[in-house]
Parts: sequence; C-alpha cells; structure tokens
Amino acid sequence: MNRAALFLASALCCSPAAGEVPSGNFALAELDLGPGCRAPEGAWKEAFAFIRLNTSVEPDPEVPRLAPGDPRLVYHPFLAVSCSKAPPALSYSAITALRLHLSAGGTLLLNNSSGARGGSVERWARDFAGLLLPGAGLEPLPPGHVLFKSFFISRGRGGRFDLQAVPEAAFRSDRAAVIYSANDLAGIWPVSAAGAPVYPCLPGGEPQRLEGRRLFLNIVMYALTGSYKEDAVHQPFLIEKMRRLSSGEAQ
Amino acid sequence: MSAELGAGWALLPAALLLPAAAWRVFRGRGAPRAVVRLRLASFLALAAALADPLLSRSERRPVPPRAAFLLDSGAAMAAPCGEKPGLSRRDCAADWFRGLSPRLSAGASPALFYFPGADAPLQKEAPSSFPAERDLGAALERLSSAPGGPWDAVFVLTSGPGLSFPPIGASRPGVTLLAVGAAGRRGLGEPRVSAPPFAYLHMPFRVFAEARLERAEAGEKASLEVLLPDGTRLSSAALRTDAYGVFAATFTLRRDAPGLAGYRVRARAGGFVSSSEFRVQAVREKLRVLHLSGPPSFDYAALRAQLKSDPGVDLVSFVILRDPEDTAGVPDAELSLIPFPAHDIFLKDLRNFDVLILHSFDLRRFAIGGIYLQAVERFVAGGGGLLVIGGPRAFGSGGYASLGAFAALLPAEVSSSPDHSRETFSVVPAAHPAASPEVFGGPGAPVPAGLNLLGGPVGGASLIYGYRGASGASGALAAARAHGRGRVVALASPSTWTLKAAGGGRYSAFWDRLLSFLDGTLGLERATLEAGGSYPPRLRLRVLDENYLPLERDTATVEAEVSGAGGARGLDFYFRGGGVYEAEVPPPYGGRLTASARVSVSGRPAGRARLSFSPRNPSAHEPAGLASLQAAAAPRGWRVARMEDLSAEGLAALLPPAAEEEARSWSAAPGRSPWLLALFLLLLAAELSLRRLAGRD
Repeated sequence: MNRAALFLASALCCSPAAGEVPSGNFALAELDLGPGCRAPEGAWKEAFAFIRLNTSVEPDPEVPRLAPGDPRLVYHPFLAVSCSKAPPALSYSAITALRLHLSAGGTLLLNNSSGARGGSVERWARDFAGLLLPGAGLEPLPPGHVLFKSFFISRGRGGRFDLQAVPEAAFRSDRAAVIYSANDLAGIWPVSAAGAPVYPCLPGGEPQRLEGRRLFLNIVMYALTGSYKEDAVHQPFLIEKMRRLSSGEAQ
Repeated sequence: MSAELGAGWALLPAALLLPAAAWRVFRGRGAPRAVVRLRLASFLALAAALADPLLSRSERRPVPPRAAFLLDSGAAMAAPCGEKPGLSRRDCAADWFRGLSPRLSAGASPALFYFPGADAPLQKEAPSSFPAERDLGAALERLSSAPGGPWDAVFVLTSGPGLSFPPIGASRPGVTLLAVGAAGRRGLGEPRVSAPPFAYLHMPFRVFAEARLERAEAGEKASLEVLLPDGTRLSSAALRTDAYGVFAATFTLRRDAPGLAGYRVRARAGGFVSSSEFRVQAVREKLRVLHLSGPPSFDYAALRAQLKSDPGVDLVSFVILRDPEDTAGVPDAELSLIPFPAHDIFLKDLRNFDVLILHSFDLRRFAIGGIYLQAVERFVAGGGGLLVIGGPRAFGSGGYASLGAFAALLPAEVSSSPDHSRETFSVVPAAHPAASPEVFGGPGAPVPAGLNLLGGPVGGASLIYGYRGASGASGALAAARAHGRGRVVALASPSTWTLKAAGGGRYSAFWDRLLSFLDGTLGLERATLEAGGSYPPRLRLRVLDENYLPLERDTATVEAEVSGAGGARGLDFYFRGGGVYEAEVPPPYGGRLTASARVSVSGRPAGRARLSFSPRNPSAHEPAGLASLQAAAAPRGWRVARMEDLSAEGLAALLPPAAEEEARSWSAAPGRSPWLLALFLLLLAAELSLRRLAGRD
C-alpha cells in the first residue's frame, strides 16, 4: 500500500463526531496553510447569505479551517484558501492528500487577496496548482466555459481588484479542479455593522463587487453541478432523440 | 434353335485334326476295326469338349419397365406422416413402396434408393443410398449408374420443401414427383416465426410470421396476432391466404424491459386456430436515466459525473438551482436558468427512460393534483426503475409519507415528520444481489454521514443495506421492492460521494451494481435456452461472459439433457459462434419436453437454463407441398402426383409400356458337360481292353 493510501486510510479510520459533519448541501472549508492565508472575518457568512438568497443551495454556516491532513477533509469537497502572503511549502503527505481530494471530485479555490499581480502569492499559486495537478498549470478559463453560466451569466471580471480578466484554472479530466482568482473574491463580502462594504472594489466600485459576487456563486454552483449547464444545451436534443426512438414502434 | 461355339472355338481346328490324324495313324497299323472305331470315337468326344458348342433356342417376349424410386431423406421428410402417429413421412413413403412393390413387380422392376436431401438431420441415422448427393440433380445423375438400371422411369418421393432441383435445361426426362404428406385433411398448421435472437431495449424489432391453411382456397380470410403470455394482444394483421394457403405478416415490436421475454403468435384461418411461441432477449443499447435533483449538492455532482462518464448511459439531468421563493434580483436575461419542464418530463417523456432518479427531490412542489406522481407510479408499473435518494428535502423531511400513491411505492418505512439527520452511521450490507459489501469494508472504508432515518423494509420489500447510526438508530439505508414490472429502490443517504473520496473504485462499484439491479440487468441470465423452429427440433443455448457479452470462443462446458416422452437423454451442444451453442433433440418428440443445461465458462459456473417446449410439426408450417412441386415440375416436363392417392394400378399407369426383346428361352453347352469327359475316358478304356483281348499292345 502506498503512502497516499495509508494516509487516506488513517484519515478515514475514525468516525467524526456528530456536529463535525456538515449539514446542508454545500459546505466550505478553509484550507489552513498558515497565518498569511485566512479569509476576512465575515466573508463567508455574507457569501452564504448571497447564495441562500439567490439559489436553492443551503450552505452549512460552519466554515472549519482544515489542515491538509485533517480527516474531515472528506466531508468538504469544496476548499478555499485566501492568501495575502505566500504560505510555506507543504509536506509531501499534505500535497498527496490534496491530490486525492481533487481527484475524488474536490474543488480548490485559490484566492489572491494581496492585490498584486505577478507577486509572491501568484507565483505560489501557480506552483501550488502545478504540485496538486502535475502537468496541468493554471490557464485562463476560456470565454465560453460553463463556469460563466452555471447560474448567472457572468463575464468573469469581478472582485475586489481588477487584475485579471477571467479566473484561471487547472484542469483534471476536463473539470476545473483548482480555480485561481487574482481579483480577491473573498474581500468583496465583509460588511460593517451598518451593512456597508468593508473593502472598496477598485476601480469598478459596486458593479465590480456585484460581478465578483456572481462569479463566486457561479464557482460554487460549478463545484456542485459540474458541466450541468452544458447538458442543458443538449437536453432538448437528447429528449427529442428519445421521442424519436419511441415513435419508431409506430413505423 | 441355334448353335454357337463357345470360348474354345479357337481349338476347333485342332479338335477336327485330332480324329483325322488318329484315323490315318491307326488305320495303317492293322488294328482291328473295332479298336480303330473306339479310338476315333474317343477323339471325337475330346474334339467336342474342346470346341465347347452352345446350343440355344430364342423367342421374342415383353420386358417389364425398370422403375427407380428415389426417396428424399431430408429434414422435411422427417415430419410426422399425416394420420399415422410416430411415423415420419420418410417412413410412410418407404412403407408405401414396400406395400406396392409386390403388385408392382408383376408388371415392372422397382428399386428403392435414398438420398439425403436438404437440411438432413444431424443425429438421426437416415438410410441413404447416395449419402453425398444432397440435391435432386446430383441424386438423379448418380442414379443413372446405380445397379439395376438403366431406368425407364424415375419416381421421386418427397414432400418438397428444401429440395433443390436440377437446372431446367439439364433435367432428366421421365421423372415423376410423388408428393408425400400432401394429401392431408384441411387444417391450420402452427405459425412459423422468424424473430431476431435479441433486440435492443426501446428499439423496434421485426418479427415475421406465416402459417399455412392446408387445402385452402386462395383468398380465404386469415389473421395473425402477436400476444404476450398473459394474452395481451400486441399487434395483429388481417390477411388472406394465397394460392398455397399461406398467409404471412411482419410485426414491429418493442421491448421496454431487459431480459428474456416470451411471445405467442396466434393464427386463425378456416375456422381453425393455432399458435406458436418465440422468445426474444432484450438487451440495452444504453441505459436511459432521468436524474431529477433538488438543490445542487456534492452528491448530485458526483452521481452526475459518474453517470456522464459511463458510455452505456444516456443521461438527462435536471437540478433545481432556484426555488420559487429565491430572488436573484436580477433580470432573467442575466441568469442561465431554464424553467423545469415538469409537465413534459412527467407526462410525456418519462416513459422513454429506463431509470428515474429522484435525488433529494421535494415532490410536494409537484404533487398538486397528483397527476405527476401517478405518472411516476405508471412508469414503475410499466417496467421502469425508480431510485429515490434521501436528503434534507426527501422522505420524512420531504413529506413523502403524505404523498399517497407515491408513498405506497417506497420500500422502507418513512416517518411522517422530518427525518434527516447529520449523524454518521455504519453500513450493514444485507444478502441482496444489489449489495456490494466490499464497498463499505476493508481499509479506507468511508464513514458516511447524513441520512434520512428510515425504518425497516415494508412488506414485500427487501433490504439491500442497513444502517446503524451514531445515535443508535437503525433501519434501512437502502431497500428495494418490485412494483408491477418495475423496481423501486430507496437510498436514505445522499452521502455516497464519500465513497468517491475513499477511492479504490468503491463509488463506481456501488453505483454500477445498484443501477444494474434497478434496471433489471442484474437479473439477466448468462445462459438461456431457446427452441428453434426446425424439425427435428434443435435447441439453442446462448451463453454470455462475465460482462454479459456473447462468448466469442468456445470456452463453455455444457451439461445438458432433455426429458419427456422417451425418458431422459443427453444433449450434445456444439459451438456455433457468437455465444450460441446448438444441439439437436434426439427422438422421440411426442408431447412436451423439458431441456435443462448447466453451463460453466472457463471452469466457472455461469448458470443453469431450463426450457419446456413442444416440438413443432413442420408439416404444419412448411408452406410448399404439392403446389411447389407442381411449380418445379412443369418447366422440366415432369409429372406430379400425390403419393397417398396413388394405388399400384395408378402407379403402373405412370410407367412406360413394357418393351419387346429377343430373349433366349433354352440353351445348353454339351462341351462343358462332365458326361462328355466320362464318355471320352470310357471309350479309351474300352479301346484298351479290346486291344488287350486281341493280344495287341
């Protein structure tokens, strides 16, 4: 048995306590990569409220911070990490655990909150994506990608910053398993006690924030439905095909 | 009276010279005259022996015609012989010949020959004078050199079907076809059915059926119907008999459930009714799955990806991305949403799918009026598979217990109050064909969490997996029941995606097996027996490999026997390719027979097959008979008669008149008589004695 399997076995050997298992049909966990990687306070709460308001998805309000070797990782196929500074390198076993997570259908959102294009966080993100999905580097999502229509019709240009025209992704089996945003999709959410946004969105202001919110929701929906919206294009054809087959009996 | 010299005619000069020389020698020596005469007489006797003369008397007299009877031993002649149970047409024809032969011999020289004919039996030892001549032309050619010829008349005893005739221009004249079994009473034979060995589910397949009304007039009313075993009529055709009494139709059928299905073709004509059965194995081209999910979830994403990646699945998937109470606050043009086409899905398109998956689906939104839920019930009753997966909006938490007809479909007890729990649970596989115990065992086994706390299986349902929750609750995690021709499976937990996280192919193994059970594929037998339409009856054994594909090579071992009239006897199956083995059923064929086969593939048991069948009477469905013989005979200048109608006198009338020929009535060959030799010796002895008495040496 290889080390990865041993790790996975040890990760899954123990039953998590009740309450440690997420409720709802969507659960987000932050990947704990160190102090430089943490989403702003209240970001996910606002994000979940937006999701709950607009969609049928019921996000679990709990957002645990999980280390790459945490056994609860198995209950959180959607991982997010928002870094303002490049985190330290991970161990081989941690990388292996995350590789398994992604290969089993998991999604990892790498959010760059540094506000710098081409800086240390971005270099780390590219290296990290390469480590997790060997041979599949980050690439801009093509304009017609299903992620841009998984719920909203999104142009993809949103976030706290405007450093990136569209998110980038590293693919595994045609699925965007690692999604990277340089525009800080976590910083758009926090609001003050008065309900005002904590961080301004530059240079586009509120429309840019709204576009960022829609993009974030689309990323969540993409993780939950895959290429469903591409199916939607083909479904009338499939249904018509089946109707034709059925009518064959009358020929 | 005439005299001829025999083979020793060349010695005649020597024979004449011998007494002449003897006379000349002895006369000059002064021997007594009596001695000389004795010597001369003895030499004359010797000369007569050497000349070997033949004395004969001839006269003109009539010669009876030589008639050859060529009996077809083909498969059609193995059919029962009219009203004589237990006898084949071939037996009847041979008996007929033997019965007529003594009387026929008075005016003719008959001789009987067999030839194997078309489609000769595999096992039954049929007599055959010309074993290699399977067609009539070759048999006639071979007959010309058969002992007893040349033949003044040739009679071919045949029932017609399957017989191949010589080319018209090269046909021997003087042939009379005697139709055997064509003088039956008016009656309707069993329909002959030609159906494909298998059909794809939901795809039309065609079945050809024909029957013959014996002694029918052209244009008589007739009909053919295809029925299910329970008598349900699937298709019918109103027909008219043709000039040969035959009526036929092609039916287009469709199967909506996998596996072997029986059908019956019923023929009606002339006040008679007959039927025959056939079976078709329905296999899937693709499994057509309609996946309706409530809110998107990881479980939905994983299952959808699983089904999408399976080339054997056609998936149509709908997920409820937004409930009516959700407000996006943006124009519809900025949303990629489409309305869920509930009306079309439930009322129009559902029947085109094999499996319906309701995945944490809040049915209360679609329960108004009940027509959608009734459509689901009809879908299952008609052979569809229904999989109900739990979640926060399903089972007790989805109010399923109050959904009337739908609740009655569920195979497990459902709470009338919310029952969704976040707790982790352990899985207890049951002894059920849909269960995959290995999935939840061994190192790395997942600890699933989140399920609807279902009770145990309801009456008539069976447990696939049980659960034991962290809180101590237990019940059915998955249960199944049959409804109508379909199946329903309830799966309490929407957390099977954790199997995917556990790796090792657990997830695909779990779903492959569950879906196979749901769509009925798991119930497919790997070995199936079918009765062919030939006579003598042949059985066809279809063998599938572990992947339910036809065996490509002869890797199966078959132990088989047939029982019924005549007791049990073994069956020898021979590989024919494409997963098909064939065996001919050894006689006798009376009554209903039961065949059973035990099959192993590459040394591993692959299943047992059993089939009860009634061998069909080919006389009933062979459409040619007398008419086809007449059609074949006319251009060849041959005659046709019904054997059963033909007496010895009638047959004699078909023979050419006796010819006159010069025939030897008496003959004698004195040169070959031992008395002549004795006379010679006697004369020599007398001559010696006389010479001694006369005192001469």
